[in-house]
Amino acid sequence: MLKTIPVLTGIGAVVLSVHLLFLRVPSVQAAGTGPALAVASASAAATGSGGRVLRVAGTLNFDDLLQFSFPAGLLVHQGADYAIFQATGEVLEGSSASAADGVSASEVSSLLQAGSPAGAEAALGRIDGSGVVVALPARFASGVATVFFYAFLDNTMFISNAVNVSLP
Amino acid sequence: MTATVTARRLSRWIGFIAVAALSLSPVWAQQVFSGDPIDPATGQPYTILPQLPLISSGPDGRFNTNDDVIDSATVGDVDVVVRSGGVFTGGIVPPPAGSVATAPGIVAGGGDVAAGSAAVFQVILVDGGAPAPVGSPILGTDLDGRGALVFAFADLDGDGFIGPRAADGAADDQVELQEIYTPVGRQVAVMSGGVADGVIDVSRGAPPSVGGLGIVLVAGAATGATPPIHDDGPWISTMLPYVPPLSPRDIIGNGNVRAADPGFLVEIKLQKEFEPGKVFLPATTDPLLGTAFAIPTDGSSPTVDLLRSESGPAVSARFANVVDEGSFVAAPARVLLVGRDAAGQRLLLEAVEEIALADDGPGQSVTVWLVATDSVGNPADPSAPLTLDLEVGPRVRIVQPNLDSDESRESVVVTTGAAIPIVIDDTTGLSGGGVDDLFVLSGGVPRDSLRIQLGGGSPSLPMDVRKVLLKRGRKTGRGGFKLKSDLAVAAGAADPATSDMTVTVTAGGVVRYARTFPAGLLQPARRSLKYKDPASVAHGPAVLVVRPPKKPSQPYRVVLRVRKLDLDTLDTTAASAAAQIQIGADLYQSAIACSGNQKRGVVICRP
Repeated sequence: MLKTIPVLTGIGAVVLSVHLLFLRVPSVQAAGTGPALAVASASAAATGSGGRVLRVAGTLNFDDLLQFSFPAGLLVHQGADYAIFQATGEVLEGSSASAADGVSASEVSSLLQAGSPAGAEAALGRIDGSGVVVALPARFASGVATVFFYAFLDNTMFISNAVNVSLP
Repeated sequence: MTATVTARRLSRWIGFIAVAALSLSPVWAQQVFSGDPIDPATGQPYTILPQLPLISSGPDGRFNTNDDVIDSATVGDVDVVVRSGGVFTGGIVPPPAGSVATAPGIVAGGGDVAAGSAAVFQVILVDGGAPAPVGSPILGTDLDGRGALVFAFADLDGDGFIGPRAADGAADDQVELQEIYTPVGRQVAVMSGGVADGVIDVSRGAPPSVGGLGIVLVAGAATGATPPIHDDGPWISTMLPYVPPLSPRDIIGNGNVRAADPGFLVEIKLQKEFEPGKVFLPATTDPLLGTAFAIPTDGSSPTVDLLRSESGPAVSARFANVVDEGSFVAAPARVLLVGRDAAGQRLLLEAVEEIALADDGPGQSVTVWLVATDSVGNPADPSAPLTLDLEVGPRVRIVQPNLDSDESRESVVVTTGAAIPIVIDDTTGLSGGGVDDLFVLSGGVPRDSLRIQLGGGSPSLPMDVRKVLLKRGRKTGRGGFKLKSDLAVAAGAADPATSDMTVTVTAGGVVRYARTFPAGLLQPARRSLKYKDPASVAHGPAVLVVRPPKKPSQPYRVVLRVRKLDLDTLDTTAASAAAQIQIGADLYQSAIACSGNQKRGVVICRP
């Protein structure tokens, strides 16, 4: 949900996208670098029938997810309840005491394993280079929830910054 | 015996020395550089795009500045080409596809995120000689192991070119610039025997009912001697829509590296991706270069190739606006989509998440467009009729379509990928601003929402601007500003802690900054609420602090500090600045007198 940021001022100030050439692939183990995960913002809205749309803006290595497969997605938790929206479109949900005090990178894998397929009301609506839009499972209540992106590469679980979002 | 051993040792040493000499030999000894002009400053071949003059950034090392050097006497040859569809089989390099319609077709999406189909590509070293225009393939091994990188750019405006050009006027230049701001895919491959084979997926496509989306593949390769990334030699490339940094080390990220691997991350220094001065693109009116960098999609650019990307089947939906090319301003974060209208004509759309709506009763309605999409958000043709249900809250009504007299909801059956205009207005009898949401659901599941800020029907609220400091920055893209202001938030007014906040800063009559900080972004930090952009935000990272009053009679203090802005054109003689802060539907605004310091490149505004 990052909106317009700077005002560009003519061709002389061209800021172009890509840097072609010379890929440099980080070693996530040796250098501690890895996927560029960041949540810039999150917002939610509720339909009259109680369905909730959650919009999370940020970076999820979408360009890489497009080219090869690795586990990645969005994790939402509220107290012990959590939902995981995988980039594949699969949605898991569950409840775990370990989520109640926050979720660390080392806990994501166990939540993935413990999660059950979410109800039909939950879905990954869209994933692209600007973030994700999801429909939340019914288990979440009005109040604050926490969201972050995760990705698993080179036997290492990476997570983004966590952002709180107010669910209506 | 002794003599035999000595001979073996000698033979080994000779072999070792030969290998060492080869590895230390100048990289330009490689066949692809045969005959290429050498930069006397580096001793390496110049990096020049094919058939374009030598372009360098001049003494300041920054492109698009007054000291750029364009040497028309030195023109680049063809070193490498990219072909799609696996058409190269080892003989003469085939020409690229002659049109988007005849180019290899793919479906947008890939990896795990959507069931797209990948395009096969081949990055091929050539000698630039006969047969024209690209010459013969160089199928040697002297660049084996070097990484090749392929980028895909989309012809968003359908003009048959990637990038800005003068022939169609200047009004659409920003949309054309957006095409190169937002590549739609990139992948790596490894050179072997003069060819790097690979596959690439792209994120953007258009409905098949409008012929899909034209994609241009471009490519480059490293040539250095030192593994794993071979960044110690000049890069070579096909035609590109601009000149990237000339030194590989200017574009390579920090940290440890490993060899190119199509099954792993491609990191291309994302932190500095959009820094001005790093790349070269002339104005379309440049008397020498004109629009030489605009890449046509008719097969006449011999080093690149084409794809036709179609969106996947419609499974979701989103809201969008029709792009006004005349007022559009390119930005990397903006998302343009190619859809179609009911008549089957291409329609350039921009994803929209929030709109403003006057809270004034009937009149001043707003039109947004509902688009059926594939799973990565592209406008898409449904494979079967798709029912989309619209739903809106109490403060807004759906004016059109309205088939059932219920203005709070509507069902639309979509049979094509055509965008559907949705007219909304505020509900008569309810005022006071606020926010509402328009939802689109399919199968009872919400797929997208549009935040509607109601306002504009009431006068703006006063704000006490304590200070505005705008700084041009010593380098392009290094400007910034600080805004400090006090807001008298009345009881019942929108709460800064729980409402969207849009901040707009104007100096000398020019809007220098506008951004919406969504509700929920601010987090408690001691006595204040604070939001700070992650370090990965390279352009305009912001720190927003809202300090609630100790006593109800006191104001809220809002402090916003933003860095890394392009304020090159900041007028340091500006006599005034204005700030607007919209919280929910409440608009606070004020102007303030300023004085400038041209030498320091700053504008200082105080009461």
